[in-house]
Amino acid sequence: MHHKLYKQNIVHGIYMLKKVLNAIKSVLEPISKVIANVINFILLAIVYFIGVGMVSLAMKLFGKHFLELKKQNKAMENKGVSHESNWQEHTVTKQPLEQYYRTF
Amino acid sequence: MNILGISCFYHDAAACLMKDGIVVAAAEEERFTRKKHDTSFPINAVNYCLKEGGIVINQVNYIGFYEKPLLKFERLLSQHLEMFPLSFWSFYNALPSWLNEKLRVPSVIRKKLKYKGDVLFIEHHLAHAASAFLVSPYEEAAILTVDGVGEWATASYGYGKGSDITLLKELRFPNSVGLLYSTVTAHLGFSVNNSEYKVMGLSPYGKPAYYDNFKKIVNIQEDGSIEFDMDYFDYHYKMTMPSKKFIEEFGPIRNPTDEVTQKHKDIAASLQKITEEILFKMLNHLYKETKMKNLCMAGGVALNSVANGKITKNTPFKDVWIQPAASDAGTSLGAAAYVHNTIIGNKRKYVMKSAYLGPSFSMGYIKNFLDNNKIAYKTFKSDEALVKMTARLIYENHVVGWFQGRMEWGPRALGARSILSNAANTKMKDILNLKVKHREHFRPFAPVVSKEDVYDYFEIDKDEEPFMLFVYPFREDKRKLVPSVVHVDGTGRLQTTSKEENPLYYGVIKEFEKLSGVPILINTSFNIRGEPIVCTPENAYKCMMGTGIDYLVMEKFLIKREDNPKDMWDSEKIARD
Ligand SMILES: [Fe+2]
Repeated sequence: MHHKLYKQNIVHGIYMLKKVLNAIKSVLEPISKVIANVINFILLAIVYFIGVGMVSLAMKLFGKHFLELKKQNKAMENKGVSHESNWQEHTVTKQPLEQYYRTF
Repeated sequence: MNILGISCFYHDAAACLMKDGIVVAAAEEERFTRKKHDTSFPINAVNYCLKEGGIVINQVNYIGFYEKPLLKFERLLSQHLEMFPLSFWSFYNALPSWLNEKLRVPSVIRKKLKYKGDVLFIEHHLAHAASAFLVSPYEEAAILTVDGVGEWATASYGYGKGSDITLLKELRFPNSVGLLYSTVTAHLGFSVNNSEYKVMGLSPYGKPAYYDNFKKIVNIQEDGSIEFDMDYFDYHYKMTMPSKKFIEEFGPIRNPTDEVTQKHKDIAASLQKITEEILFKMLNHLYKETKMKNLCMAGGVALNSVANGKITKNTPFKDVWIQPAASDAGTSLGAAAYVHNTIIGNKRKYVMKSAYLGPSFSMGYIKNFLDNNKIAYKTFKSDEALVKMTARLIYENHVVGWFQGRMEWGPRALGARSILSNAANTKMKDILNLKVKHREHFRPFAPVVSKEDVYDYFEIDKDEEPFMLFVYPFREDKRKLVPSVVHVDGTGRLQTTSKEENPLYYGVIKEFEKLSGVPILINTSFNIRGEPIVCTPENAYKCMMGTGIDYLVMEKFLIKREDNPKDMWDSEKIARD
């Protein structure tokens, strides 16, 4: 008899505990999402403004460009038309099998 | 030998299975997830392909992936390095998905598919080229691929011979015909990577009054190569495409809910003109370089059916074959074919004559579905009865959902998941728009014609066009016979079909001819507006009950909408662009 009551109490206890935990979870979940987003934002901002930014500024100091934007604008503005072909040499033919395992 | 091709994470995700050199299955992921242009890993499409091929993943010898992810990442990084600090928001939005999946493609594939074999990476434009040439009917052909952007390339050209492809040159980001088209699509208030075809449909209503404005933006060489003045564009560092300067040149961006004015039509016409000029210059240059009479094309821009229909008139090419899934979905097929034919070196033995590569459903499956859901239906006793009844319903101006056999591969409904109606009825376009499609009044409906009758109705240089990729003019005297499928400029984006290709579909057309005198039907895609084309019987039934489709002919079953009032609802509430 006692044993049965004891068992019932435990079941009830677990049930209540679950309810409390769920209530805490429902409050914490949106908060944790916000925190995750904020951390994400901070990390990505650091990577962008320090990582990408430093490399970008340093390379630009040496006159390096990563996209050919200026060339086009200059060609369009100065001459109106440039007569150079913009097709780029890029011969692609069959390679040895190993080459295709590369993701670059 | 089993080769699985996969494309995903950027535009249309898709999978394709080649078994011993034959494409046995291919499908876009969107058809299964019901998310239009779904880009996510195509797990459903892969599972379908394996099931259709009767194999499990361990029996796949190689997986071909449709691009080189690190090369694409290099381009993206270059954009951010160049445009720092303006590109922050674009970086913030894009980087997480690169870290989570795009840079981890081999492990994502292995994990999602529990696959232990080899994954081979094919450059994006090479995959496009392979999707066209390796399954084309030609032993040798010139190849042109044009899209938005792959890794760096936005267009490439070369040639194919036997099982080999040689690409010679490419255009590189940011100079891109596809991105120019998308920029104008955005400017005209339509959705990018989705509604470019609407701009093409709008163009015949306008005059190319803005041609000179476009000439300020794009410098076109005689060889078809192009250079942009990037001050007019924002897409190299922002999520939006037209820049402030573009808006100064062409006026404000149209709000999607605003009326389409003559100005918008003129901009569309000018864009179409400049696009055709670039394409034909590219093609004439390609012909000079290769001297081949056959041409293969792929890439999103190859879906510009208005330009496609003019290729043989404006270039020396005699014959053109375009991959029906010309956008990125097709690169899964291209990657698989390139691995099988070119890398492994197997001789080509498959010609893609049909786009019916998707799932089909047995009579038993459909009957179970109908019975379990207490849907009222009739069963046709024979194919002849089915064909006769369907033709009569169409002749009596009913809108008929047509669900037969294997689903189409590529963006067009080609008589497997189609809505069919009476092309001879002047009012049918309005009826279809009112009942089912609810689409912009300027968009044309497409005709399907029996192969042997195509010359009678069209000014066309070939007798078959099974994939609806070319627009041709109707013969002048025939236009009044099929008013619902003649576009404002007297053209139609036709599909031809024959008894061999699709006997029931062809049968309905010929039976309709007996009743109406014309062997032409309206064929439009079977979908709720803004949703992908239907795939399963469930999708088809739901689509009918949510729209004004009157009858559904699903394999040998006939279902009437009005007989099932309990399931009726209005799909317009969920319809998107
Ligand atoms: Fe592409």
